[in-house]
Amino acid sequence: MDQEPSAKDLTVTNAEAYQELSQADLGGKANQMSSGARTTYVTSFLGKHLPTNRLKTDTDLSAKFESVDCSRRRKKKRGKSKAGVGARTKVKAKLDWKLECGKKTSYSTYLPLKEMWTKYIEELIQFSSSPNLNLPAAAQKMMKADLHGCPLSVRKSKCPSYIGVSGIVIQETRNMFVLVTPCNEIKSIPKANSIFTIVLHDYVFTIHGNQFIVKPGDRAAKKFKTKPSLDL
Amino acid sequence: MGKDAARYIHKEIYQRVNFLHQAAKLVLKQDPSNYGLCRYYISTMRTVAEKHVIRIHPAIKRTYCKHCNVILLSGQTCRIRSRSTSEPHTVVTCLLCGTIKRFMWRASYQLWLDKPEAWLAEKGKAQT
Repeated sequence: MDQEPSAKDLTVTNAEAYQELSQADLGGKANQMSSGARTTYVTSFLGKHLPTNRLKTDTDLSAKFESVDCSRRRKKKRGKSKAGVGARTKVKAKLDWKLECGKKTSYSTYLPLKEMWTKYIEELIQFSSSPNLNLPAAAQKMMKADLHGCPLSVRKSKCPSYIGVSGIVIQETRNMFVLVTPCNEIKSIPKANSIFTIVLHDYVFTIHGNQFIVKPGDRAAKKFKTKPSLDL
Repeated sequence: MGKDAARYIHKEIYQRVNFLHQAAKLVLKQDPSNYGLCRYYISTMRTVAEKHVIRIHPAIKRTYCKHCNVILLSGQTCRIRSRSTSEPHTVVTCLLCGTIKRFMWRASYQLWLDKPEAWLAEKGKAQT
């Protein structure tokens, strides 16, 4: 009897959680784009929808040729598609996707994501409800939270060039944090041998990178063990 | 107290799933060519849900491609057509990988969650 209500209640929570953080709740800020975000939107939209041939300027005529004599025109052979190279295998090859490091993107594109993340984390760790925040519990929740979109900075690292880098996390993999810095650059920083900090409402959360080497999907289910921390 | 504890057993996970879904939507909205990031968020969302054995609500589950994990937006990443060859239905085709979703127009069809059988608590109450 004790276990029976769980199914119903879970569905209820699902619906509730979905409503609490709806898109409308974000206010107009998700809809208002900054100029940088707008240009990225427009360029990617145009690149997708305009024919590429028409956008090219016709300067190089050497590559163009047209045959005047059309007497011999071969029929196109309809070859069978080779077995094994189906659409699905092609897609699988495409799915292995990586962000290009050092590529230029606009930082402002990801500002709404950051805003959404702060809303999410405020809801997860209730800052406002209690003046004395239960810090161990908050840390527990922080470990299981999602870090996509959070403002992160590197405090200590074995590699001196990583120290002081800050930005918005757009991807978290097993070994890396991929950040967008305010200078519109994508930087990937390995988790190992470095210490990260997150600043949230006068609280500073510190992440020890060595303990964090887990896939983001598996992290919520993982039990954290105390490991000796390295001196950096 | 006991009931509240049962109700919020996986609250953080639901919040995380919700956040990831919306982040994927937002990223695709900001930059329509950024399929990769959108896919990554949805795939993490699915792994999170899988790890905790949570069922994703159909309202969310129907908005992404089952095969390539991209958010389906009509006109941008998917094509929505209605057909009535054998039985009237809607076909949603993912433009990136070509996977098809079919939704039948059955008047009597109900989602499992909307059925009274799915609500175990009420069933239990009726029995006792």
